[in-house]
Amino acid sequence: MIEKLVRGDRSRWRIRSAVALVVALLFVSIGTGLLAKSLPKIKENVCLISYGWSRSEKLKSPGGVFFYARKGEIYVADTGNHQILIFNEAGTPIVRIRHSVDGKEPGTSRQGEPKQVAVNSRGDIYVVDSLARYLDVLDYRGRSIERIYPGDLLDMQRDDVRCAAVTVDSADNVYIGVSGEQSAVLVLDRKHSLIRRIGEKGDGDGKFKAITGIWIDGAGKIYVSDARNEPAVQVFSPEGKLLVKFGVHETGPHNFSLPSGVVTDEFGNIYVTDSLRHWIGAFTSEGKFIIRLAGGFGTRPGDLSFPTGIASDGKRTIYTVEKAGARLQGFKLEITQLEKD
Amino acid sequence: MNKLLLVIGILALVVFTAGASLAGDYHSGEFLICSDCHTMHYSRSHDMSGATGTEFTELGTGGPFHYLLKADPNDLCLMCHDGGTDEPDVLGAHANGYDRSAGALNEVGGVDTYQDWMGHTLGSTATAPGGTFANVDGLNCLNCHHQHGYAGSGTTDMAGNPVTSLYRNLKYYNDGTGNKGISYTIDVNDTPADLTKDVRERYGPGSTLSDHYSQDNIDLLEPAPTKSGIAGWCKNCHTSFHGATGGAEVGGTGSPPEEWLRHPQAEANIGALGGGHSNKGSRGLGGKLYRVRFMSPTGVWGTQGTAWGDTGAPADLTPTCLSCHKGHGNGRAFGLICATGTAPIGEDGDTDQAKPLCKQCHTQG
Repeated sequence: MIEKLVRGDRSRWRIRSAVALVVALLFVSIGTGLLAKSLPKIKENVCLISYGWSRSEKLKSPGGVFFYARKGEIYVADTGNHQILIFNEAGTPIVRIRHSVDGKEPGTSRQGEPKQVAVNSRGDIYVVDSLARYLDVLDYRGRSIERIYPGDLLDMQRDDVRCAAVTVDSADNVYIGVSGEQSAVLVLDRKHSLIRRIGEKGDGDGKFKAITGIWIDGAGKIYVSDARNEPAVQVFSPEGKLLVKFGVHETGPHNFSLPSGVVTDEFGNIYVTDSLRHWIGAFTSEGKFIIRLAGGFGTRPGDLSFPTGIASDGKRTIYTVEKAGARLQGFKLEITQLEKD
Repeated sequence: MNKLLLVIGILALVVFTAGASLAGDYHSGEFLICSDCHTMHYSRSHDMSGATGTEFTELGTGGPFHYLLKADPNDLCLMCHDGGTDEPDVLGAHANGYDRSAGALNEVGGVDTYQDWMGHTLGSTATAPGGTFANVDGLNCLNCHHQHGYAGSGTTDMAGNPVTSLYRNLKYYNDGTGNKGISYTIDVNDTPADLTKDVRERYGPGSTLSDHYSQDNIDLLEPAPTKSGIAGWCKNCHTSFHGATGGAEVGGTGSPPEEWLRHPQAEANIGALGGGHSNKGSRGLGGKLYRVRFMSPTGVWGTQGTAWGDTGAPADLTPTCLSCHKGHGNGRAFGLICATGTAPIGEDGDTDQAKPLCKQCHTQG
């Protein structure tokens, strides 16, 4: 009798447990489904590959890329060849601008190593050169018309800081990422007067250690990638308030080894190149990992070999340049977004 | 209780040993993680948590590479060490403001004005001059450096002192008498040098790259008066360019030894030998305002910009390989530091002529 009762209890317990398990699984699957649905689906298709100016003059260790929306042109900092290359949207090179910097002796010049480039609505070209302490401003013909020293803007010695990254927004405000004894994002108006400084050198939220890329979206939000700081990617309001942060230097697809640039698409999804992982990571506007786009070390279309820069048309096309791969690649994005931000 | 103490003791030993194995100032947990450079199977199908979102079953068509590396070692190193402003920039032109102690590497075919006859050439399969070393896959950074850092345990310098940390983590070598390495000391704010080391690094406040890598902050010491750790290390590849005085490689026979077959790099102090040898007086080294680096047993080799004049240079200064050559190379043939002695010495010296370099010490010609 007692044994029967016990068996009966066990049986009921098993049934209850099974029901509870089914209900729990149901909730989990619904939850997971909702979660999955909340993430956009993104797929990339290679739409452009260019190897440089000509067969005999290929890209050499390119460091940066910028999409000039007004003309639909792609500007590449062809670092190893000391020049800026301009491609049309089909990937055909149309202009090259040699870049030189001051030589060691006064009054002399030497070949530069341009590593980032940006263009304003007038066609003025902003060049960050590894061998210069200033941001070089060129006219559309490539003639240097102004030099902006971040040391002057920060009231520091010119040799103590240098430009690490640059971009321009739709109002022609200029954003300079500064590295060296101090680190910050400097916001300049179209006449190059300092209007805002964001962050300082250091570890953690709102600080920077080695800025590698800056991007401004349509709403004026400021995206900054940093090779050494954690968080690796930070998003600020136009006024400089930290809004979103993500990524540390660790394993896992949502983390980074050497983030080298950041852009967004028309939905606000964020794309970050990682030089040492050879891929582009896609994240939601809140910094939640979506998927790895492109990449895998190699030379096939879609492979990446040390991507050092990323650009976007702000809609559904992104571009990247590869330092060792020595290529410019463009990717059309297929985006299934449930709701537009 | 005794067992507990024994366990604690063993654990402490393990912890301390592990700590020692991480000595060195390269990539030793400072910033990089293993998977930045390595991949176990040249594949990546998911991350450590098994999370989805990765689409790759292989890393790419370029590999796999030796030592489980993700890519060619030179490409991996140069991703940060070429054109970067937050790490030492070692290839071609310099992105930072100071004059690099080691100078500039070049690549096969040259890097702009840094041609492949101006120093060490990444990717070169050539045999090292004076020796037999060659890398059939091309010279790479790892041929010379312990990229992970190395404690140097069991290694001694040329003076026979134990090496606890290798200068620039240059690889140790075996010269037939045991593992040898170049030792170094860091003097914070010019505190007294540890003269038992081969190299002194002057480490200023703020820990800038310049503090560690500027030629102005690196001194060559001489813990053993007749030996050179630097030259011993270079001999590892450039075998017959170095040897003891009177030896088959460099000669220097006679009394005083004058009949050199190759330039001495360890034993001959400047101005110590007669017969038209080097001159430490005002006509020679003593009269130079700016000097290339020499080994000094006291760590004192003058102040750049000030000549010794009639008193002459100290009698204990000894030339070695890095007196005349940049370790990596520079913009001159053979990485020579072409210095006239009349102007501050940059990475290349201050002239494109080699003769003034000889005349730092010699008065002939």
